Amino acid sequence: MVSIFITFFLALCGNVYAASVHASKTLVLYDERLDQLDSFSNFLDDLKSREYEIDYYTANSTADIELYEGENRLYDNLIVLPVKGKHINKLISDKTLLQFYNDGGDILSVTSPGAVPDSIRLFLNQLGIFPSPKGYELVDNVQGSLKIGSSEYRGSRIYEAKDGDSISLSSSSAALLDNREQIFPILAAPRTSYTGATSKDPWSVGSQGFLAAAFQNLKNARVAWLGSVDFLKNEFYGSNGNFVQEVAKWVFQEKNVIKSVSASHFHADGTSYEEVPYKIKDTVIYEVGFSEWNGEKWVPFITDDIQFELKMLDPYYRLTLKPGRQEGEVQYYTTGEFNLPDHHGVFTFETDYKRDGFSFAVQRDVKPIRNLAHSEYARSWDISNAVIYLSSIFSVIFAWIIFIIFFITASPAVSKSVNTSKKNN
Amino acid sequence: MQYQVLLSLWSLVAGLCMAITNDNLLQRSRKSSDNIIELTDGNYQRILGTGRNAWIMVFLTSSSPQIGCATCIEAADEYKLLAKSWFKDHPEGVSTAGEEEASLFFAISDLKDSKIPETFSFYGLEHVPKFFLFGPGGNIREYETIELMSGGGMERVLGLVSDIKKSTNIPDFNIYQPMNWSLISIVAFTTFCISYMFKRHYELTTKILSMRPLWALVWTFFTILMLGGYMFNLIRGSQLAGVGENGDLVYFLPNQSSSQFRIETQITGVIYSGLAAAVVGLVLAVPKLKSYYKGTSKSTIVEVGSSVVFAIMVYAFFAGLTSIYEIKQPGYPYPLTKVSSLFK
Amino acid sequence: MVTTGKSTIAESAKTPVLTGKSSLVRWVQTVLTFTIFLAIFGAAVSSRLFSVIRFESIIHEFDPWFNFRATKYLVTHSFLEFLNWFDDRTWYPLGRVTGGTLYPGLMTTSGAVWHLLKRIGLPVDIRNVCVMFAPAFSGITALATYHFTKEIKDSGAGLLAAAFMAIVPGYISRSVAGSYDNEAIAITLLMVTFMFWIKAQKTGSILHATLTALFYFYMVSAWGGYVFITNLIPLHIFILILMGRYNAKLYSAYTTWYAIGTLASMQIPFVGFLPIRSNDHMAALGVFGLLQLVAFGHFVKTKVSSDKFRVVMIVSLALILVVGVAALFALTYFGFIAPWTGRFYSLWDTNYAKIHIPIIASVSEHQPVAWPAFFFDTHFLIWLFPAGVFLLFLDLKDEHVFVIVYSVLCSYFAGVMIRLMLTLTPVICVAAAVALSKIFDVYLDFSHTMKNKKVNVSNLVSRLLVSSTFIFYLVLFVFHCTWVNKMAYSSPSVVLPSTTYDGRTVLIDDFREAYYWLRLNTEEDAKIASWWDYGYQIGGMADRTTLVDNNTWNNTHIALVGKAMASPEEKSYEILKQLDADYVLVIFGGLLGFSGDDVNKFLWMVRISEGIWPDEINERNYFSATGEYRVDSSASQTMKECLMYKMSYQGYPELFGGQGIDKVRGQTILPSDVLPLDYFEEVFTSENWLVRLYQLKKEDSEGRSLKDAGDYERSTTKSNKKKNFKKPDLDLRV
Repeated sequence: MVSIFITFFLALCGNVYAASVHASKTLVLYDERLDQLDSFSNFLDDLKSREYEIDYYTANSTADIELYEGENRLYDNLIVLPVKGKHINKLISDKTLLQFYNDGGDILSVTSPGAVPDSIRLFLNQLGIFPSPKGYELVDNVQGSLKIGSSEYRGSRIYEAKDGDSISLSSSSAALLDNREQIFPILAAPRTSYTGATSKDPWSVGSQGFLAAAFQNLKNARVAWLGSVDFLKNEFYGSNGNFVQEVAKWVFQEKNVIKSVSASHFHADGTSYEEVPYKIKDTVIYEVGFSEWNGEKWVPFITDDIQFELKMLDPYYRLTLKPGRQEGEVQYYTTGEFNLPDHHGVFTFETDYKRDGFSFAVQRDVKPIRNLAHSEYARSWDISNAVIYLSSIFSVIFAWIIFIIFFITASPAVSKSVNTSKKNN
Repeated sequence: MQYQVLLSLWSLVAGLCMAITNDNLLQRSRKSSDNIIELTDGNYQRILGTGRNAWIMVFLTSSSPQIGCATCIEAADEYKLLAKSWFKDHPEGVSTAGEEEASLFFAISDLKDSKIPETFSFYGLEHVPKFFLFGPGGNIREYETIELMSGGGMERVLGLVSDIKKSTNIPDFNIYQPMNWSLISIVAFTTFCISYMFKRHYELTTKILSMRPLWALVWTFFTILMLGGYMFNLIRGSQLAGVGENGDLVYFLPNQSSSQFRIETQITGVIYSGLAAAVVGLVLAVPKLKSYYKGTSKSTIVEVGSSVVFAIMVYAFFAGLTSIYEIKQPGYPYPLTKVSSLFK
Repeated sequence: MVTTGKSTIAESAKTPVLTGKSSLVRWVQTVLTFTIFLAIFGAAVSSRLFSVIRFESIIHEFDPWFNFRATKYLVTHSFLEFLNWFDDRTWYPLGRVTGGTLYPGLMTTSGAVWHLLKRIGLPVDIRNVCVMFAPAFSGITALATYHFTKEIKDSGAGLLAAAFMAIVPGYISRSVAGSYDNEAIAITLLMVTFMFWIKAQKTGSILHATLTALFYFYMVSAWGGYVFITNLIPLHIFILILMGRYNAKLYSAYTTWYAIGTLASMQIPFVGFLPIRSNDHMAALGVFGLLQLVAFGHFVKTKVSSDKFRVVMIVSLALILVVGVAALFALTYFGFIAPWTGRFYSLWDTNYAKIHIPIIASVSEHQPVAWPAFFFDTHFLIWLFPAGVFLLFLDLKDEHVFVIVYSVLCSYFAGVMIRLMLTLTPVICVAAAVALSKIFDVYLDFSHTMKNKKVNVSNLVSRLLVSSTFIFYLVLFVFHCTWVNKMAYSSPSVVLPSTTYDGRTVLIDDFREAYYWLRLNTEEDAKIASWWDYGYQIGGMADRTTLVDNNTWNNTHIALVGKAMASPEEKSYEILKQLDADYVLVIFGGLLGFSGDDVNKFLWMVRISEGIWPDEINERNYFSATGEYRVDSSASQTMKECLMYKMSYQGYPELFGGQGIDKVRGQTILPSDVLPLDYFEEVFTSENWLVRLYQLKKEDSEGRSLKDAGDYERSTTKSNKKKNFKKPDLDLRV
């Protein structure tokens, strides 16, 4: 988490006008044998207009393509266009890609039916995205051409389709997705289509397959995969351009980037835990702030589905937070006053905000809640039921004193009996 | 070629004919008074390896003193109890209480003398005792091993029964503990004697009951038992004594100061009692003897003699104690028999 | 020393004899007594210093580490803060209400000593106070034993008993320097309480009874074993009543003690309402009631004729018995009185714990004792003891009944549980001292010989022979004790002595090495999962949060950790993640031959967790096909897959270049037996491999299971190619 915030911070200082939340040094890998760069000029120009700094490498060139210099990542973003053959480059294996991604690099990966290099395929497989292998192609026997209507759009947070939107492609592969919650499907294959190759079982059938999918790891780095190079091509840019730009904005962290800040909790009267540690049944307030990146700066993030959990092994509370004050770029959410459970232990105060398409925001704080001290229980005279015990105690004491007085003041015994107890061994 | 076909055909037919029936098994079990079939080199293939529809429990054990397996001897009695209880409820060896009719028989293979039975080599046994449970069918290699719990007694028998029940799905297998008539009669007799004494000789009984030395003896004896590790024997169920490599008896579990045989309690008990008696003798008997012979010529001799005898008794028993302790804890530096080592 | 009533008269009765002697003799006697006590005190302290001399001034074993930590808390915080201490660094995430669940007597005493020393200008480190605490108190125990035995017989026997008590190994076992445990102070308090009790019951003095109650309160605040006193004193009274020896002295002593003692004991938070709610304490209450009835009976007896009285007595006794027993059962049934605790049951029904409470049965202190241990701990006292009991029977004064009851009960208890050896030891010393002093009374008394002008040589020789043999045994006893203390009872078990092949003694310091590693290299709030044995040490030495520790109050939590150890990796990971653990610590003795390691304790972990999750954990699965507990190739699959096995043997065969030899179990481990670890990462292994530390890996950020991630990392590109061309076998996407 910390490293991401640092990245954010650096990004804010160094590159104020960049559209992405982090720096935008981008590497485009392409294959001259398949497509010339010119055929993607619309797409690339759009990126450049948003201040992306782009390097190009052709995949089969003899030049070494370095993603790293020592330990340091050289690029923030990576765009991998379809590459013929098994490998992209000697230095870019599936493991390097995974490492790049794990270090916070964002990847936009495009394959086409004829070009699914192993390294890309294996990398995507690790994320639970299984593109159809080389040779498979999406076929729609009913419609003939590949024109995907707005009903096939998924993941409205990444691209919100309007009625009548459609995608046109000349050919495409489709991917199967596994059930991971970090996968956000973007575009499903038409229901009447299937992915097949000659003399082989179909890879996917109907909307089981996906033409575009996105993935976000727990460190909030993003990957998007597109099943066809036609998404980016100038010739289809009229119908696809808008869609592709939105996907690119998402994957390169221009939109749907949120962060949670300054989670705090304190007694209802405002004193903090450090001043007065919590004890059971105390009334406390929890609040947390959320901000969203709007492409230029952080702004308050407005939503109504943020939940707070108070856990010790099991959740004791799960409260939906209410919007509170707004301070500058931060919108605060609060639980309002609530009573800590009647159970001592070490509790976790947690908001775990994970929603499709948004960055994951987790705030966690562990604090003990102590039991009542010996002086914090109700005193006996405060308990109405205890009156009977108290009165009996005092009456016994009183009776005893009376007895003593009588015993002392009464006349001494007349005879003194001498007790000669003999031990009967 | 033809011979082989014929042979295999014959063996098939023969196998069918030879299939061992429940009646046959029942007959075999009735041969012994315990209703346990004795497996010999001659019959084990036939009993275990031919088609049958009965369960057979096999107990592989050794009662040979050379093997010196104390658990085997304990387990053998428990096994007999098992078989007896089963045939008490099911004289034919058949239970109809479950979903299916099931029959169960018991067999034993015992290594009695130096000759190792074929069953042992057949199953490659390295340890005894073992319990194998053969299901209906007749595959001699297919069996289930039933684990023997470490603690002895009823608990183990019940454990075996529950394992058998689980494997065979026979629901009705009850254990009938043999009445311990001797204990009951002893208790009855003593109760009778005591109440009779109490009734008839009230004075005498009260006198006995308030006799201090009697109580003293009883409780001192109790203490000595406890100090001898009696509770250890009870809780751990230790063996009476061990058997050495050459089949000889071992009284003391060597090198183990945190474990013991049952017989060790008895031996240490005797030693402690002897020592305590000698001390009491020194304190009480010697002055008593002295005052008894007071004034006579023997006085001095009796006094000196008795005190020296008691002192020697203490020394002897104590020396014995330290030397058996040396068995338990080798390298113990202060055994009484090697007192000189002190002054080296 | 406070003297009242009877004892004053006894003194004055002696006075004529004393005045007969010259004042010089008296003076010499005083000096001699003082010197003897000084010597006894010196012997008591010095024989307990072996551990400091051979090792260092360090807190020992397991429980003392907690006591030490609590004491540190006490001296850095106020007493009230200590009383209300909620400890969030143990039993994570439950926490422990430590202030309300400990016996504060030990900590408050050493805290007071520390403050006192500071006040008088001796600022001593609290650790040194704690280390030297037990030896110092053993000296006081000897003094109390002297006074106790003096009441039983005379001051000669008292001196012998004190000397025995000072150096007897059975007591030293729990009171060497560094053994900073509750028992260190509890035995002292036990003897002081008993001493005052004997005086109180002899004299009927309310003052002595009150002192008994006060020390009883002190004892309650120091050790759970106070229940022993709670039952022994009523039993003493009860037996005296049965013997027809009731008198007013007993009445005043017992009622005073019971009333004050019970009220006082309820002030300890951990004890609370137990004295009126738990069955352990009901005997004392019952005898209290009985005593009132008996007193009333005596009163009636003086008013009514004896015939009528007998009838009245028999009827009322029967009635009371029936009503009392019925009430006890009813109250227990309806839950007003807590039933007996598990430890108490296991004392009487010796198989109870084995079947119902494996956690009690698993503790080594709760094992039965074989006879050599008795001899080891008490040497020749062991046979003087029965003789002493017998001789006391013949006198049978009221106080002798106490000693006899104590002896008989405790010899049973000690036989069942080895830790109760500690409570038996004092009475062994007392009874043996009585027996020995009786021998010396007869044979070391030369006054008669000196008076007679005519010396009877043979008589003298026989006397000399007898007494010299016993003096010789005494010398031997000293040798034995010294040997035992040096050999067995001075190891701190934090540092292990070991002998190299060339005969040098080296100290194995792996525990501290690992604990300091933890202290220096992990986050301050890191949580360490380990078997409960090491909880206190981790808390004390590494200052890190633990999941379970030696205060075994929550069986389920312990079973959860046991389950994590006994489950395959992915399940363990899930459990440990749920518990927020960061590191896992295992003790592995295979390289060193240290038999008290986790693999040997492992079956208890299995058993304890099987008690809670019988469907998931089954002890039998951890045995090999032949039913043996094995760790080599023939170990069962469940065994090889469980976390404990993997962690213990990870990388072990490679250390030997392929064939790891486990020196504890004498078995050979092959590399193929040890499956790879995917969910945990080895971060530290101590010099002799005794302590191994693993860190829980972070969750895979791509959402794969860590096993898949590990498989992927291990795979080569070639194997991937083949595998992944197949259509993946996926669940329907929802």
